[in-house]
Amino acid sequence: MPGIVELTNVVKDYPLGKLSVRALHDINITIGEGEFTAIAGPSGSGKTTILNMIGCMDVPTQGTVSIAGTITNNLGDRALTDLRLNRIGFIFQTFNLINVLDVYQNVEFPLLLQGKLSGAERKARVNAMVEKVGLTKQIGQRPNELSGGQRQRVAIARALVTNPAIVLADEPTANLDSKTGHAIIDLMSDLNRNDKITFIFSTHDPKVMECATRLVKVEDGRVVG
Amino acid sequence: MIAGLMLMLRLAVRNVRTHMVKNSVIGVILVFGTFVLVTGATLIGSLDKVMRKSITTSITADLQAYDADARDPLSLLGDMNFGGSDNGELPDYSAVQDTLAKVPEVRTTLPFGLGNATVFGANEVDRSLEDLRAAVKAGDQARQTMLVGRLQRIAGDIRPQLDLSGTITADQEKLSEDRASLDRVISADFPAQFASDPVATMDWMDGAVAPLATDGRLNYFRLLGTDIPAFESNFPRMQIVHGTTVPPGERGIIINESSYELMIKHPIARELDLIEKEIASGTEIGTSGTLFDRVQRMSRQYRRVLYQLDTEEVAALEPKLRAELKDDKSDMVGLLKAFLAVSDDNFSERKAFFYSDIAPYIRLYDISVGDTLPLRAFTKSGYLKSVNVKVYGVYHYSGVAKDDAAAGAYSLVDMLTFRDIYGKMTASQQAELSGIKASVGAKDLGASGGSIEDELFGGGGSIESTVASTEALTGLDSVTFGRAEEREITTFTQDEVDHGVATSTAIFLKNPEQAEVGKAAVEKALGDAGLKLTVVGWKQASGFVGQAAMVIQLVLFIAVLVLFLVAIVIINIALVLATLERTSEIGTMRALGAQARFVTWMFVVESQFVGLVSACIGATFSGLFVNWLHTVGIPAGNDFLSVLFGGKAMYPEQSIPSMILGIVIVQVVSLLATIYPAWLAADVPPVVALQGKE
Repeated sequence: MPGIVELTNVVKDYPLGKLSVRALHDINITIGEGEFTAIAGPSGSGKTTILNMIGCMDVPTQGTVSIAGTITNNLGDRALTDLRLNRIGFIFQTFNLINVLDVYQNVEFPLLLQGKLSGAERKARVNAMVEKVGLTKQIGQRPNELSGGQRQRVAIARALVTNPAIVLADEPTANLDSKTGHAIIDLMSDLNRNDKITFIFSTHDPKVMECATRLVKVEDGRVVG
Repeated sequence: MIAGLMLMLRLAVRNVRTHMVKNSVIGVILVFGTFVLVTGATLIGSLDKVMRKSITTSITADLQAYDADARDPLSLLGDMNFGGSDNGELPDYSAVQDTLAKVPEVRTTLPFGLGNATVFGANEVDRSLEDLRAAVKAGDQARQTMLVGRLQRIAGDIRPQLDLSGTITADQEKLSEDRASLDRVISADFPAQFASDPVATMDWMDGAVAPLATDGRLNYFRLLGTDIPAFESNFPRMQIVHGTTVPPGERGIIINESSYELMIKHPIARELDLIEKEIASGTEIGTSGTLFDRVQRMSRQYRRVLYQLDTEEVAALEPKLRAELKDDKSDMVGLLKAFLAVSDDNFSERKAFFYSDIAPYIRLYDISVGDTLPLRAFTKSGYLKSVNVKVYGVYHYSGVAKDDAAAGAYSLVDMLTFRDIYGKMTASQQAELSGIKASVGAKDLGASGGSIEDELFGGGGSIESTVASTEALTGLDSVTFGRAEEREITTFTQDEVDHGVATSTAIFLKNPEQAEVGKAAVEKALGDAGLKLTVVGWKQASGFVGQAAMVIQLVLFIAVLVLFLVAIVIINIALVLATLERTSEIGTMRALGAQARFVTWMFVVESQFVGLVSACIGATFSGLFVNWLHTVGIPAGNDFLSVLFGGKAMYPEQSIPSMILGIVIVQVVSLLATIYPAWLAADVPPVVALQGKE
């Protein structure tokens, strides 16, 4: 059975002046639907580059990347953007909420970009998602009025509101204290378990790695386990 | 789509609130720019409107048509040629009139003929002698005595000046003769000499004494030949202020009030008027060198008063002057000099005294209604021509100050008088000339020099035929006609007005608001009729006054352009900085699935929102300001502006199109300022979201 994410012989080079630096060496990863995968490794190991490839924010120099059956190598910016909007949800290390919008509006943002739902449907979907992450009381607050954990919950709600095939999380607990971090990982884990959502997250925290159902270890741009 | 737009608007509003300082700076610039633009456009629109009304109802009509081959463009309100423009000619006005009568857009037309003429005023000895001759003819002994006394006083005043000129003149013999002539007039027995033979004495004075007096004044007239009754009915701002209009079919002139006040008024009275105007504008005699010099020059012109006073008038005026000046010692010359040396402290009383106590004894205007003016002008063929024309009245344009020099200052003459001065003959004049030629046996000699010489000097021609031939030589130039001074005919028919030369045609449209449509129709009709004429609107026809409005428009345009260029640069810099600040936010949006065009539109909507709010505020301020100006008026301040405004003040009116234009332009400026930052923002890659900090 093919994976929802397939990286085949992926190589990524970045230019550095007249030289070229290889960030990824012949990466082969297949992630199945509904997996709760951690990509682990020290800083600079290539975790984020792998997430960039999976998140359609970058394309490989060599090899192929397939997301939900779509090969991304030859896609243009518009098609990659559409793929991100409709198939991938993002959770960022620094939350990356839009400061001028409140909780409701932040969660609603991807749905507005999609333009698929009516106002009433959007409202129902957003409210349900906000309730799921436990922020109903804070729905009218702006990000600067929320705690770090609450912000990340908003980010999770925003990532899930479009019913994506994959949710990518880049070091989702890095900016949170351990208690809050665990609560976030628990939330993600519950969502994975109950709603069969595929989560792929990068981390270098051993406690977070323990929560993953699958672990991909990366060192110096290579998969080592 | 609507939800997306609402999202952008929501983002715009939130971003404006979040970046209040930056947006306030941009907003203030745009509010100021909109205010300047809308106010300027409104004022220029109002100025254009009042100028069009003022000028088209005063002089230009809606359109003017003139010779397409003219050397100079038509400029009815003045140009840089100081009246010497050559606007070509329409050889037969009736051809133009008949053609334009068939154009549905045209209401009526008027012939215009532009020209210049001078009138030499007599000196005071001439005038006194003229009065004396009348008194002798009437047998008015008392008046004769007074006038002889005045001539003796004038001679007494000239005598010391003659002594002064004796120190530099080379012709001592002539000087001695002149001294002797003056001494004879000054002498105590001169009244008796006059009484014994008045006519001979006056003839002697004409030749021996009058040339020693200061020259008379040279008055310069800008003339507009036209159908005066039709002019009066078609130019509603024209008003007769003294006398009457020239009756239909009569030759005559009505003088423009500004010419009347500035050239024909007594020099002292005119100077007092001008000094008063200067003082009213805030200038002081004590501090302004120019105004002080003007007062000094005026006080040296005391003779302009003295020479017009009879013995009895001097006797009546002298005690009043002594009382006014508190001076018991000075003679009349000293009193007048002292009186005219006005200061800031006494100017108002002196001027009032002049008009109440001195003016009744002098001629306040050189030319009066009813006088006959000997207009002298060079014809188109270079001959000096003199035409006597009766002064019927004085006119001005309503709303323009009576001494405004910039008001065009045309004096109106009938078309036949204009054609005399211009040097063109009517068919009847040509017939008259042919009759004269025939009666004296003149021949048309053609252009051959040999033929002319043969006719003049060869073939044993008699003296009489030579004279006749000389007359014929004058007649050879078909644009001159005889000596107008001898003309007795003072009436003419409408047919004579219509058939003959003009320099342009004033065209009145049925709908002046549709001037461009009318112009096109007129041009087509003239073209179809084979008439090579240039048709111009009021701005071009009025010359530099109309062009001044265009210059004002250009200055405003440049000011607004500079302002908006600065605004574009500042807004651009502010938005670029904002883009750099918001890189992480933009990257996040891109990562979440926002297309690059969404980011571009987000920036455009944001700047358009700021632009729209600012433009509306600026336009509202402008509206309030214009409303206030409409209530209080913008004072003209000077002659030129009073012509432009068509009165003492302009009351601008709100202009919704100007407001809309201002708002649209500000939106365009905002858009232009956003192009680069929006492009920069759209280029932010989504991957920065993974690098950014919140």
